[in-house]
Amino acid sequence: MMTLEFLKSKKFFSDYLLITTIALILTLVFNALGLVGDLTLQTIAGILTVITIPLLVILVLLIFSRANRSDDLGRKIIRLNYLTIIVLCLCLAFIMLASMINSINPDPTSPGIFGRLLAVYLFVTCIGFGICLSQVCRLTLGIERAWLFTK
Amino acid sequence: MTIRRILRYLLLFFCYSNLALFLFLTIIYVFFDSTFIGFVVGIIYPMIAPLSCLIYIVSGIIIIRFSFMKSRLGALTVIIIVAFMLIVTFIPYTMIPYRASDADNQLFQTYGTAYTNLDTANMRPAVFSIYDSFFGVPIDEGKFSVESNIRYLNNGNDSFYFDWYKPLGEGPFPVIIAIHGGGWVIGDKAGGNMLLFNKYFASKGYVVFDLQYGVYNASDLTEMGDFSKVFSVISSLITPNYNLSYTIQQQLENIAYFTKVLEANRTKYYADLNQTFIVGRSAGGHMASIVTLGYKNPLFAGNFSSLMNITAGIWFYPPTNLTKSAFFDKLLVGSLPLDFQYKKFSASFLIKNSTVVPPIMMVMGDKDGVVGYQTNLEFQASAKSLNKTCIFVTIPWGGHAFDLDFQTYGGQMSTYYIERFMALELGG
Repeated sequence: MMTLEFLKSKKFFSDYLLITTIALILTLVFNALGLVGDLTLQTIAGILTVITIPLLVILVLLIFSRANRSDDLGRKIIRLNYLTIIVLCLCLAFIMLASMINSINPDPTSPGIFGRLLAVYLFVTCIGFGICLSQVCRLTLGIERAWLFTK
Repeated sequence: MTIRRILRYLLLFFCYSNLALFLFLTIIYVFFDSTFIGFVVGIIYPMIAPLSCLIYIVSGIIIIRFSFMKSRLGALTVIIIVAFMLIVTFIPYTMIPYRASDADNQLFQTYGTAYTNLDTANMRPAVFSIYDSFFGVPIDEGKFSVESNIRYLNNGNDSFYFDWYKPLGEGPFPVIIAIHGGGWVIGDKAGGNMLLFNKYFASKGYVVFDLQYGVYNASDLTEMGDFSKVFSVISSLITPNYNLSYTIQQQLENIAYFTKVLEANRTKYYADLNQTFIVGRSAGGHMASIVTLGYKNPLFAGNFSSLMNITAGIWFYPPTNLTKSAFFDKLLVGSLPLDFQYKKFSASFLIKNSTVVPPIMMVMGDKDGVVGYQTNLEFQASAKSLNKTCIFVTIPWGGHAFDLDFQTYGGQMSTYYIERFMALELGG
């Protein structure tokens, strides 16, 4: 159990926040660049997406365990955490629904670009919430009462 | 009981329901793919699984947090369930390189260096792209136009229509005739026939005709019991309101009539009938197989356009061998004795009894519980033993109608190989 103690430390949380923020920003940038159509950029964007979403989920779990529920600011961070996970789930579910509706659309004359735009919008929302959450955590990390770190 | 407590119970109920639902779907998908419900789940599971995994992971975490913080066994059970579902979700993706390599080998063996030297600059660059599975397969809608609901036949009782996907320019363009599926008893063009596939190929310079051809009235299949009722309900939702019931022979005659209409209007529709591809899915795949193998066969003499030359047939999950059943006994009624109708409308018979056999590409998932995967592999072996070109692309863990959502790995993988196959058949 001693080996897992570092997971509760402020340093680990701070490093993890940094990695997640970088990954989220890179995901956003490479997905935007991928719109140009370059396969390499799209492949990097896809790999980053697959890495970033689990990173974000783990960040949410870490915040649940380390934010101080007895403190007002801690409670607000937890609320933002709940909101992020709900937005994440809903955005991915709606991306899935948008692609299904786009595929079975009965009108061949309707442009399919709206389905793609919706997916882009939802994806940006999803990553945007992740960046917002990680930045709020980073900015409040110095406020000792909002967190429960071992050292 | 406080509101907070009620909300907590509601959240827990929601999470348990989610976990139970996804576990149910996963078990059906993995173990019961040959049942009717397995067929339905096989269509939707690959579409919903990757992006839904976050929902059941979060559900699992919440369940552990609120129910099993002090029970290791309970927590372990939830973790095992979630892990099982995650593994099932992502197994097909790990098998894509293996199946892709198999398809590449077949194309290389058939076309040799023409395949490796093929100019693919205007084609999909990768078998599967995570990026496209999020944002959709890019289709340049500025490169074609669509005219829908053009009537090509009125038999006095029903009218039949087609949608015309016309690439920009004067043509003539290679032709794709797209035939919808639906078990011969339901289905329609457009939304019922993968219109993104049609749009994609129209944007690549193919003129696509997506047509209605009639269906058998599902309510006439009384001996099919519940299936008849299920089909009747679905039919009312996604099938044109035909006045007559059409047997398989009549359905094929309608498709054949369309080829004659196309011949008469080939200049108007910018159609190069000398380069025609027949594409169909499921029952439409069966129809495509009969058109591909039968259009020059004396059994169908006079039915099809005499000018049309089928460059290749592309059959998605097609039944290639109709086996005797009460269902087909009704649908196969026609001009010849029933036993011979079975043969006449089976690709496995026609391939041995037709002098003209265009190249074939079959695409199907190895978890297809409706059309036998093994039966179609045997068909391919039979075609190869006759020295006919038959490429078989397997979609890993794909069920029936795996490409219903065009941007899933099934849709992407099939498109990747089909466009290469078509380009090769057009001479690169």
